[in-house]
Amino acid sequence: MKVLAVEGSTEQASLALLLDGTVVATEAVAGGRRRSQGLFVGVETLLSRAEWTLEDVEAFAVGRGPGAYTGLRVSLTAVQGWALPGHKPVWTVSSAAAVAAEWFAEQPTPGPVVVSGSARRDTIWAAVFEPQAGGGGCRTSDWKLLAAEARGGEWPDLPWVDPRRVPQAEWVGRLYGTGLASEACQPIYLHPAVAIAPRFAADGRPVPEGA
Amino acid sequence: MILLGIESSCDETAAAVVRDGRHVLSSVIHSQIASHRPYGGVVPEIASRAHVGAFPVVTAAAMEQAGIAWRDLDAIAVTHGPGLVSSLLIGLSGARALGQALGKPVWGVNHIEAHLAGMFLAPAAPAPDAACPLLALMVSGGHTCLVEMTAVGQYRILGQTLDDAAGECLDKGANLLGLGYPGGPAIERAAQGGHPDYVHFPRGLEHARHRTTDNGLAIDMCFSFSGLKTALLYHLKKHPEELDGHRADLAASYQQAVMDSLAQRVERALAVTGARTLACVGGVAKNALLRGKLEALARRHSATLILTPLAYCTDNAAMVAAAAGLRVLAGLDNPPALEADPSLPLVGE
Repeated sequence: MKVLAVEGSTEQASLALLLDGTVVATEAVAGGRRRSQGLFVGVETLLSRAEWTLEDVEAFAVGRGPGAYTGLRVSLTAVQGWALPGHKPVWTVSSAAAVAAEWFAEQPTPGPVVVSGSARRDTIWAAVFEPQAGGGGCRTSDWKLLAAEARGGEWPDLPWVDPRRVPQAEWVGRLYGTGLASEACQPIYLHPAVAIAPRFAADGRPVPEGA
Repeated sequence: MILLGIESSCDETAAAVVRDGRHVLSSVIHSQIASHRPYGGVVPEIASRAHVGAFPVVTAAAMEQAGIAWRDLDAIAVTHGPGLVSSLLIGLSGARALGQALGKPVWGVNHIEAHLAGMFLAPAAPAPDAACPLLALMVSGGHTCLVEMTAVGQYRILGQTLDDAAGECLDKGANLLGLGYPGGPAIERAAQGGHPDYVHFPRGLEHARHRTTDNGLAIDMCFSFSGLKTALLYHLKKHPEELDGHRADLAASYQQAVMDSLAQRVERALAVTGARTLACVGGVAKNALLRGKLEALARRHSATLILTPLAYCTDNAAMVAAAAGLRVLAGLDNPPALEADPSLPLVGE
């Protein structure tokens, strides 16, 4: 199975090609405002290095965060665009699961671990992952939003993965086929879309102030 | 030449297949109105979230309804500006990925030019060559301007709004009147039976003469709607009881002021340009009062009137594919779709 994996939840986005679970090639994608451009240039560089074409790719794996919304939206939409004409499967997993999988693979006796990342405005997101038999790991807690200085205060008995470790596309790709269920093809949103209260009810009538 | 059009510049996710710039094989629109209605206007973050989910569904439906295979497409045309950048990025990313998967070119289309192309989607509309030169009023929730179009790809902005767009003004007025969102249709409904002269609201820049804007536009061809909204606000503060007894009159008076402002500038532009064809494009072009005023203006100036078909007034992707297709037929290039540009100017001025 030829898989193209995409991870765009941080400024250090990446792409990877995998053949039957083995990494064939990887490509770093420049972040920032030109992220979208970098992704499309990067995938061509990556494919040509492996001497593959998009037509050769049989399935796509993509990280859905938590992380930077714009990067996630671009990568999730791009993957769907690549997959649509050939009706190819798109498999979606949290980017944090990719971080956990990489960490588990480095431990002689892996156990539960906390994965965290920046949620901006002096906050972090965090969740507990536990290793699973087929490889990688499952999230066993809710996503939590914490004050950045509270890192370590929550789940004090568990190790925390170094927050500087960013999710890599190759680990998103390695999780494909490990038995983890594909998740919704939408970024993981830990903040509501709107900070203000609705002004109108569903029937269009104004909502009284303070209601 | 068969093009797939993709549009996501604001709160509609749309895809369409158009042959030879004018023949619509399919047009699918996912409207987010229900999601934005509670807030009385478009919330960019809600819009962007919704585009991600809607893009593949809408695109697949447009291809299926067109009854063609992916390989039958000659190119993909996508709106790359102006618009909300977080929304533009979704359509642009999806279009670029489709182009890579299919090995087809992906062209960037200016949203305003797409609206102008929408007028030619009526089966009875004249061909662009026959209609030009023409004067077009582009009027929507995000844009209000007067454009002189001498040929496909040849545009000159004669005037534009100095503050709010007309559709935005209608949204804000509807908010103040408690009529909900979207404001244009809500005010039009509420105004039925109301007296349009109940309150004489200001027509922005009504008496402006002999001045130009910083970018050289004649003030008397420009629009201003922020004072109108403020006038309604202060009127309601002074007469809060009228919301109960005279809502229809207020809606009718407010709508009258907006449409009068638009029609006044159109009349000046007709006189200055001597255009023999008048067109109206954009979501507010659906308004029956505006349509009536433009019909009367066209008769008075012996001009032919082209009104965009109602189905293609609000944002849609058929107009996007049409714009790219008409450029090709006119021997013009379409730019590659590379970056989203929220302030993309209408080129060819």
